[in-house]
Amino acid sequence: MDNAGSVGSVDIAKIEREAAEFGSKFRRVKEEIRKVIVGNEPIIDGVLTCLMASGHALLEGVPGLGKTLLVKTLSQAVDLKFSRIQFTPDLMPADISGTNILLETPVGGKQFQFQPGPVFANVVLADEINRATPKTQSAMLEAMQEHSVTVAGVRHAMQQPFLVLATQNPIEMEGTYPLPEAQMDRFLFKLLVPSPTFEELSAIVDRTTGGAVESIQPVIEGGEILSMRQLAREVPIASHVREFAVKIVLATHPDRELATDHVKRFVRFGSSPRGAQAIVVAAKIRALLEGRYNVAFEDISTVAKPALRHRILLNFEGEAEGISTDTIIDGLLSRVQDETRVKVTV
Amino acid sequence: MTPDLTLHHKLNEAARRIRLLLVLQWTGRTLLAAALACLVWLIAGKLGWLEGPSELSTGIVLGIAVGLGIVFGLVHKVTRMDVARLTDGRTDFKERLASAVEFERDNTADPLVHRQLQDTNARAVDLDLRRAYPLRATRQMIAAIVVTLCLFLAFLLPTFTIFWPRAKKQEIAEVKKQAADMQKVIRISEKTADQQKLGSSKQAAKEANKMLEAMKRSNTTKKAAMIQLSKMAKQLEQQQQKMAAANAPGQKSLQKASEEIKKALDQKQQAIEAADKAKKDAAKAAGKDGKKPGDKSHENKDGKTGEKQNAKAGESKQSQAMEQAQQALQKFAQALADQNAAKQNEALQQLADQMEKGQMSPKEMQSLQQQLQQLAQALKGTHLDKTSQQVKQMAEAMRQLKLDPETLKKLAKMMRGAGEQCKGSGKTQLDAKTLAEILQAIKDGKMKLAAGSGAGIPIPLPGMAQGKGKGKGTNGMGQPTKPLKGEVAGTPKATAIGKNGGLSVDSRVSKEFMKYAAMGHKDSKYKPNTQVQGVRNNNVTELQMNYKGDPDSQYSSGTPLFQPNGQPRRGVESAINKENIPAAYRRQVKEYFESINPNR
Repeated sequence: MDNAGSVGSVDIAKIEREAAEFGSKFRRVKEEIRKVIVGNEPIIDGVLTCLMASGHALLEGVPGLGKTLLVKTLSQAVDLKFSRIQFTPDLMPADISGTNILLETPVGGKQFQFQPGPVFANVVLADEINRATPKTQSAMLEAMQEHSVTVAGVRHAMQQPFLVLATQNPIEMEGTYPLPEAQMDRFLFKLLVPSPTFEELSAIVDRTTGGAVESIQPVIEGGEILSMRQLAREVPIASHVREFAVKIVLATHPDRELATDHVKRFVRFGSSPRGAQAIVVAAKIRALLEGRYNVAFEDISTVAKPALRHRILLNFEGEAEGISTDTIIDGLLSRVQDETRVKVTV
Repeated sequence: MTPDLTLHHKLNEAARRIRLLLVLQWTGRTLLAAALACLVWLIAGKLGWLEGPSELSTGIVLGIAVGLGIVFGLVHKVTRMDVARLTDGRTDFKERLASAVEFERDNTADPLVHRQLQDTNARAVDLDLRRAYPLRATRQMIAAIVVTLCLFLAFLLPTFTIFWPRAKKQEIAEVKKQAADMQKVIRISEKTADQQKLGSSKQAAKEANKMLEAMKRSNTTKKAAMIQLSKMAKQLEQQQQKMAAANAPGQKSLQKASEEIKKALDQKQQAIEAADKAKKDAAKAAGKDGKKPGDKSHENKDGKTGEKQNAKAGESKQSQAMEQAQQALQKFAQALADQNAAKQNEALQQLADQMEKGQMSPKEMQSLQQQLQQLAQALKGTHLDKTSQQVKQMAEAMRQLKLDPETLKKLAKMMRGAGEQCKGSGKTQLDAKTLAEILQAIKDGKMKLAAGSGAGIPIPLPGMAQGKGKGKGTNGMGQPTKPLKGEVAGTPKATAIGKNGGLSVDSRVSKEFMKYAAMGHKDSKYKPNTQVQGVRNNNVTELQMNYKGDPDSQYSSGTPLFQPNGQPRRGVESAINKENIPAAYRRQVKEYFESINPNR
């Protein structure tokens, strides 16, 4: 078992240490955020997972649930540069990516100088992203995917880590521009921010209407996040677990064998391969957080919903019936679990 | 145990437990299927749709099912990965084991993989496989056991007397009663065999008693009892044949010898009576002529007539010794007919005593000598052949030697020796007789069982033509034509005698009995003791016997025509004594039964 020539006990000890640090740092950031944010633990976990997975998150919830506060607090806790973009219908792409401006040189000449836009931050809050025009949204798209923007033919790279946390309001959809599927696909997770419970609201009221103000201390820095990202990606996944994740993504397509009746009836398009990537990366992070060195079915099942809910396109009947993608994902999860179960039953 | 090996050990243990559970699972399935099939088969059998299963076939089917289940369980494919994944699922190991199995196979240098393997091994130490794979009966197994139990009860419960139908209980009670009755008879023979030390009979009685005892104790059906009795009867018959073969084959029967002796004695008696009558006539004639007794004037010149007359007178008058001797010979003849060796010996001893006394006249001695010759001749060819030779020697000696007291003593001694000889060979006779009694008891018992309770074999009446019976609904004997419940048709009660003395058409006497009846008829081609082929009537009461041909004196079968058991015999005797038989036919009826009497 131990290939002594290639893997020494030192390497294994280092890995063990790094894995332990991963978990502890993650928990520290989370604890720091929870000083300000009440409840919403899955949302915090999801956002942090996106951070560790080099992905972006779309937060959907009614106004006033603390989505913006969450992002701001996150940026404080991880000591990263934060910027906020309020998307409005008149927002232009250059307002996001930046533009070249004409400046006088000291010698009296004129030259163009690139002025980076708000997207050039580590943590970008794209508030109410569905209010901007598709043109503006696509500017965001390039930045999210390429981690760079091209202005006047010059490519400008983003700083790493780069995380876009977009928000959208599920109500007041009139006069908005729903995000195109291509852009939706670039978000690792779509997180649904729920309304607070009684206890949570009580706590919120206590914290926000009192005199005391919690200060957030930076817990980790950008370089640590990059190493954590690297470690997370190295977590091994067994073939049968990987197959499970792949089958889930394939089951979202109505023309596939594994598709459930609901999928066949209500889904127009299923998830792209990015969905499988999102599931696997997120599951690895989750495994590491639980102190495991392998991905489990449970990890896959847990991250499947946030990873796939925005990638499944319902048909007219599905929308008319009010079917939620979460329901569809639940159905196909149980179907795929049955399919991948061990054939031997005792 | 090193951490590296823990995983292997645990997976091996898990594999064993999984295999065992698979065996239990498959066995439950196959056993349930087989048990259900057998139950359906049993129900179909009870409903008469097809022949139901026996205990043995059910056991075999269930056994095969269990075997198949075990085989299926053992050959069911279970890979190491399957074991790991199953164990992960049951122990909340979160795919650690399955991942470890795969990573180990890949043998990668990734430190994270190695850490994963280390971590899995460390956790595997605390893996409780007994809890993960508890050995418990599956639902199918429980259902299979329940159904098998139902099958078992379906076979077992009918053996309990409480569940038997009334008819079966009665049948078994009848068998037990019959066994007890047969035992009573056989015990008598056994006692005789014990007292007389008769080896074959004793052994036969012992075996018969053992069989009957078992029959009394167990719940034997009529059919099974009859089979056992038939086997026993066959065994005894074979034993009989061996005994007969051991004695000189082709022997003359003692019956015949007895008849010859009696005939000779009768002739002698007739001669004496004739002489006596002649004497009386002569005396009468002498009285008419006025002659006095002792007057010799009637004598002729040579006195021959008188001598002749005197000779006749002397012949007629026997001495007491001679009378005793004659009685002894009669007794001997009867003892021969009765096959009573003790009495044969006794008779000869008595004869020896008379001879030794020397009180017989020379003429009487001469007459006795002739009788002894006849006796020897009669005994020749029987199993008392040695006695015959001895008597013949004696007779020869009596003829040749002077009969002085010394000689008479010697002759008496020879006679006594002959008596002892009879007694000795009588043991063999007694053994054969006792064995025949035991065999007869077995056969009687078997016939009684076959006939059913209270039934007997009908007795056909000879010389009776078929005709309508007297009275409406009754036969000629005043009995109802239909047999009573439990009674065999054609029993004496149901036998009819018609108006013209013939058997009623409605009497239900089988055709074969008509044949038997015809045997007693003077014009019948069958003689008494002929064995003819019979057929069973509807009530299965007649024995089937094979025809051997008309017997003549050389091949006396000695087998009764049929063997009525006690009840119909008594019924017949009672019927004979009743006034139901017309007076004109009573003698015929009596002659018929005497002709078929085996003890005639």
